[in-house]
Amino acid sequence: MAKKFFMDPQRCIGCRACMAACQECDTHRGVSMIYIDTLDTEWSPQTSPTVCMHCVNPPCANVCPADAIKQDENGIVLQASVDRCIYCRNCLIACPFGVPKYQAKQALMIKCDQCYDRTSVGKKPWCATACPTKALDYGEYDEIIQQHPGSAVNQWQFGDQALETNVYVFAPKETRKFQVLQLFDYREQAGYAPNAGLAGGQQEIKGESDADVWAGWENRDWTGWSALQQEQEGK
Amino acid sequence: MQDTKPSIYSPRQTTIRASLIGLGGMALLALLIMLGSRMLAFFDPALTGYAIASLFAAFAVAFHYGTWLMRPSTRVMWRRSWQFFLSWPNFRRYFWVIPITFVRNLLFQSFIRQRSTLRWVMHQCLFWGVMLSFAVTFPLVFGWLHFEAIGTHTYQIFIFGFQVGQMNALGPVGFNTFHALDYFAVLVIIGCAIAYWRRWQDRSIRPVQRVLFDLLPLHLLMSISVTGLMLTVVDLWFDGAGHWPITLTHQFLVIMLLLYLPFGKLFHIIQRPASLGVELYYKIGSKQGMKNCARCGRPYGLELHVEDVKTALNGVGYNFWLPQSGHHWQDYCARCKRVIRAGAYAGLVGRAWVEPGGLQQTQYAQPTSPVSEMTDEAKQNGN
Ligand code: HEM
Repeated sequence: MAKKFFMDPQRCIGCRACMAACQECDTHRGVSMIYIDTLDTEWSPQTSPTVCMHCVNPPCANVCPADAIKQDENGIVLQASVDRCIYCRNCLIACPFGVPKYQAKQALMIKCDQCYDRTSVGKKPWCATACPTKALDYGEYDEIIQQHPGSAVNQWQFGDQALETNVYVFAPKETRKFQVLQLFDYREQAGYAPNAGLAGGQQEIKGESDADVWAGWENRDWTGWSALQQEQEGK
Repeated sequence: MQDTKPSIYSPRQTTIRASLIGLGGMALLALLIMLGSRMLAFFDPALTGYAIASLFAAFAVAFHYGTWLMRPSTRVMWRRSWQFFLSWPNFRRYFWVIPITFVRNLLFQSFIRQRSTLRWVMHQCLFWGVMLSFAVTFPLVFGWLHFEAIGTHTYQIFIFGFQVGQMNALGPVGFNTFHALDYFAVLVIIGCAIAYWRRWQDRSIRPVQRVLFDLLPLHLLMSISVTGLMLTVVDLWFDGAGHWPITLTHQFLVIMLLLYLPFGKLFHIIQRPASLGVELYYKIGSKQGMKNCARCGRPYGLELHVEDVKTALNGVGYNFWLPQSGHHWQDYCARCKRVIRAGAYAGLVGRAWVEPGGLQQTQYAQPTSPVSEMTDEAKQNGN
């Protein structure tokens, strides 16, 4: 049986060793494809790792107009192929887990492909190798679930939409499915406002938030087009 | 490779429709060959094999293009692109978008240069080598361009059957015309050599390359160029020794390439012009307004784009509408999607300090990790 990827976010201590390891990789030098997110720290001490969950029926691949995103025999959703990707960014919007990244200059989408180069020769993905707490792990299903008292869950529910993923997340025993929006709802009821924490003097970690990514979005020169136009107009 | 949701039609319908489109493509090419060669009057029988292969390739390319357009997401983008392209106000305001993008992204592929200069040089060599060769060979094969010997070294040139001039094969113009394909072959060989070298030494591509998809096109291009050059070499310096087997091999390889075109990596030649539409889309979309995340309020995409992706998602059978929050899941930015999920998880395992009831309360974590790691002391401290 193919080896599987497991996450136990509760064990994540936010050390970002996985991000550092991911950046070392040759296929996307200097860019991490794993995310460590802090929740609102007033609300929870938890940090949360996100790798590509490798959906069994991946929305990103299904909405890709160029048919550039493929799955391999083990269900791993590969990166957009470099010659097909027409940088439409559908996958970024569609992904239910917020995973793909867009490299504007290179006009390319990149995402975690579970270290295809390493797993194909029997090694663990970089992040799982680097993780000191086994919040990220990779191996035979039977072996790994024995090391955890909780149950490994790969079913997700977003409203009416169910999703199955190839990556498992450990949850308390008897959990069959993650009801992603259920708790969200409670939080809103509790008067939770996501930006309040920021206004209260808390700092978000630079480079992690989408605010950095989208700053000056409208004026950003995506493919060098406006620079050329300005040149032509003699500005 | 598993395939993704392939079509808005049933498999059978898709095949029928795509076959019709394929036949249409084939018929169109046949018509153009007939007209362009003046009912085959200027058609070169020696090139019949290429012409027939081209007809099959036309069928397969049109077939593939058809199935591609029947993908729900492609259809959304295709419709939008044309809608934007054909609108008069847009035409006036964004007139330069298409030609400039065409030159930058399709002819010179400046974005590949950002990936690395070597990759760009490689691709430029391949692109110009192959495109220019096509520009010479297809018209010859289809009889649109025709040379007829009228003296030992003089040729009459016909374009679409119209006589346009004469050429001395040994003069500078004639010589270079007859050897144009050799120059292009050299370009392709340089491009392939760089591609091979990259694939050999670059640790980032070696593990992920696949023989049929990544290597076969290179082998084909390389061997076609080499056999093509060999033809010139044996003709010029070896009295045409081995001309015939080399011609056959060359022809066989070219036909393989033509038939490979619709299926493998080289389909990107036909499919990439769609990126022109994407460029226009973003130009116009960004003027129409940004979409702010329903949770954090920050812009994360074009309003137009988010709506179109929702349409595309519905088209492929997803429904991410969330009655709980009155939003689509796609109304949240990437980070908020991750954080909401993490929050749900934290709540589930008891790592959150806000209880469903809204009370501020510390909870003990439910074990997903080995219990032994959590000492009693740690538990008492509310760890
Ligand atoms: C319509 C214009 C074209 C565009 C925009 C385009 C774009 C691309 C891109 C983005 C790549 C990936 C390059 C990389 O990141 O390393 C690529 C690869 C490639 N292209 Fe094109 N291409 C075009 C036309 C052509 C043509 C006419 C050929 C000739 C057959 C060609 C042959 C190849 C080959 C062989 C590769 C793979 C190179 C490798 O092995 O690494 N392309 N193309």
